[in-house]
Amino acid sequence: MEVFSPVLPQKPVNVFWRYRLQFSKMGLACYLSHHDLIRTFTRAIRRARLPVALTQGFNPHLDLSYGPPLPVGIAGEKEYLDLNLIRALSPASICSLLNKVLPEGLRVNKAWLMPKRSKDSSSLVTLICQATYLARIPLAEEIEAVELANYIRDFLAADEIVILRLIKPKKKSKEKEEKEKKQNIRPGIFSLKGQVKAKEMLLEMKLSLGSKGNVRPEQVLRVFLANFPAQVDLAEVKIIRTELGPPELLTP
Amino acid sequence: MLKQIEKILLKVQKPARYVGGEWNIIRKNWAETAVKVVFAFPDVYEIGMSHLGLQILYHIVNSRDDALMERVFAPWPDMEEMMRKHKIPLYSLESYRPVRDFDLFAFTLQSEMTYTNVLNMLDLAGLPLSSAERKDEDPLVIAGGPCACNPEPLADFIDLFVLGEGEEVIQELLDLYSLMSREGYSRRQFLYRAAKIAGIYVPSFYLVSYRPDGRIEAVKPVQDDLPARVTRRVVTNFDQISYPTRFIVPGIEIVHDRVMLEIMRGCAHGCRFCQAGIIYRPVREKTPATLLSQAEKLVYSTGYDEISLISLSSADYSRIKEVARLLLDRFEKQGVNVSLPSLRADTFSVALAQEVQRVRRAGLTFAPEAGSQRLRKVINKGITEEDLLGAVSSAFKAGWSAVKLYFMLGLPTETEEDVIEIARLAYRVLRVGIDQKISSARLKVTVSVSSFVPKAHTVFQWEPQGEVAVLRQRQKGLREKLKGRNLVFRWSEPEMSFIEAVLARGDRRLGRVIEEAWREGCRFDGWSEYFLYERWCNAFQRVGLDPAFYANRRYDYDEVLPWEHLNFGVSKDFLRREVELALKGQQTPTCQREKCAGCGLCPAFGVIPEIIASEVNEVAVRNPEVINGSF
Ligand code: SF4
Repeated sequence: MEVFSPVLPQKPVNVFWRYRLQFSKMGLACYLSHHDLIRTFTRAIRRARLPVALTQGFNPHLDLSYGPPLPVGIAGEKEYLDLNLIRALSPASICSLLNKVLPEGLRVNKAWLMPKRSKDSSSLVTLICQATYLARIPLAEEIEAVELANYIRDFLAADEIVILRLIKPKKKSKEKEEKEKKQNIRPGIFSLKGQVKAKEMLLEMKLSLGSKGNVRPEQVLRVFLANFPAQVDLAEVKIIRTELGPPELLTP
Repeated sequence: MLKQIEKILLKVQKPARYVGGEWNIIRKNWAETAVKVVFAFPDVYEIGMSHLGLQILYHIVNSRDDALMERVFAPWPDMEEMMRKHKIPLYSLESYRPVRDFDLFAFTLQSEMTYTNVLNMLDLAGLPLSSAERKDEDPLVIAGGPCACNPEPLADFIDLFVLGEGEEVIQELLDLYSLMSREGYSRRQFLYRAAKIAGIYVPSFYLVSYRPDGRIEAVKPVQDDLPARVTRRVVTNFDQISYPTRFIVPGIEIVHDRVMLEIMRGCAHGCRFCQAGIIYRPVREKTPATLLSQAEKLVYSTGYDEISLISLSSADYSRIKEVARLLLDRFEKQGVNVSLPSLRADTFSVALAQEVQRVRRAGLTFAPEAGSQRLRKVINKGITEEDLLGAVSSAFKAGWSAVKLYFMLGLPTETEEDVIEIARLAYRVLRVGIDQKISSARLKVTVSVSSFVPKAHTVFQWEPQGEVAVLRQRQKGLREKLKGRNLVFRWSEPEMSFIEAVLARGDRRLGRVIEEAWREGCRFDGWSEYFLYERWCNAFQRVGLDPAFYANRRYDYDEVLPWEHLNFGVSKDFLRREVELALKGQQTPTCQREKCAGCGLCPAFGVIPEIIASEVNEVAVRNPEVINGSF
């Protein structure tokens, strides 16, 4: 297998091969923050000796770009990362080189060589505007499937679901107090489906993500579970982000 | 177990501290491995994972077929609360097994201020605190590290201490354990045989008697065939000593998040307050060839982008320039930096830092330790004001705009005049920056002061610590003088240093105080937000011991010190001679460059300093073929 070292280009390199990596961040890796994830990938790439380009300047570093951060505690099944190489490698070998050196819970599922950068090849953060989450919710007592279906129907029937958000004052601003802000999250809930299995409830929700309205799964769950017939401890709920999308825009 | 743990993880800060799974960890087959060791670091994960000793021992123990080592750290108070509430015992990060299931529960003692955490971890593990109450089936609780050079305050809780460098003695201890566990043994039988290994100290086999005035009468082994003094271990042929080829790489940011390349052990300077300078003698260096090959393996097994050249005083390593150059030539193009954590205050060191450190981040730190030349001579800190100002000047020229200066308050013979000198020196340093036209927005001189703590086995081991009130007042005086623009003043709490001094020079009677303080809720005493001085004071009172007896008293040259029976190699005569020289303001040269200072260690232990500076060596190291061909 070909193995290269990351090389600091003598002259700025204009020719890159741009790859998109789809990876999963499951199990123990869900406790890593986005910063931890970036550090971990950066180190894994050095361990794999991929022929990456380093940025020019005072403190050369890897030029990687990621999709929207996952909050600590939420796992991700199909997350994305863009990477530039200065020599072409087959997508399959990128996956296998990286998977040999990634810690538990992180795994590259697929890689694609992306078309040469053109005006409309936007970054992952601008492309991604929705996310699907699966929440596994342990229940203290069993509930009927019909009961859940009705509850969901009523929940979605509302035109407005208003939550209060505490806004921390900006560092330099004169105001010291946290302010409450109202937000209607209903338009950002694209779908919500539920299922009960013994003493566990599975909720799948497709939510808006990014600058055009951001709804976080915990926000939905908090409202959803507030009047729920069975008691639930939010800290024991396991959430997985199963998909980022629209998926068809993310892969070539 | 992991399932149970995961239920509470989202209720605590930084859950990644408690789940393991980091790159390069080793999980061995539990059932097939004879001896199970859990390495316990009695402080938070980020500090423990930055500890080189952990990486070294993890590598050594896990390289054996018959043994495994896993890790555990002190849970932060939020996690402790959750663990107690949900009845989760202290568990290891590799196999998530209760610490109780291991054979050896091995602590490292890096600071006296972690002692309550040691007790807390024993308790969270579900073990009796007192060594006498533990049963045959409980793990053996062992401890090593720098504070083990006076381990007496923990004597009631720890079954055996490892004195000195652990690389070899851990093997001997595991050999013995492995042998005896096959034969079937009692706890006491094992300890008895272990006590005969050099460097192993079993406190329960030594009896301490006291005089009516509270001082120690004698420390005697319970049986004649045990050594009267236990000798610490020193490794030789340091260049070839076992060193990890892989480090565990945490996902969360830790304090020293880089490759730690130990280039040298020991320090030749002989600062009279410094414990590390004594307990890691003599100086031993590794060869550039060894370092280069270790760096090569470590960079690619960890993926780190920085190599830190670790030692007590890296600029003193004889071929530092050459090694820095070799590493830069090899790794610079790969985006890997080299850094030097400990700099002397002189132009050579700054030039070196300038050469290796591409990024001028964080400013440079120097440790003049004392403000006046007089006091620096007393403590044998061989730098002059010209050295420091020269170093600072080169630093500003080289592009740094922030410097940090470390001082100690309350050093022996210190007067108010010496303290004023700290302020004067800081202003002179600032002046250099202004003269060099460093923009006022960026220019920063930080003065950081801590309090002198007399430590076992040092020249100043007999000296009293200044009283808290006096230290406070000197600190306050200094703070007032350092209020200028571009000056930052930082200090440590004198009350913390006071407790540290008590424990550092304490005897076994203090065990009850530590236990009492722990019961009162003391934890993480080294963290000012958790340090509870009042509760410590109450603990002393309840037990009926006067902390000042340990911290503020001048120990007598003739009295039996609590650590008298632990032989760290440096002769008492040498230490006494040094105290006299100190009081006369006379310096003692370093034992590396000039000549042997006669501390007695090398002849006593049959070792010599291992210095690798030689031309022949250099050629041999760089081009072995040439040498071979020419003979
Ligand atoms: S005996 Fe001499 S050379 Fe050896 S450590 Fe002591 S002073 Fe240094």
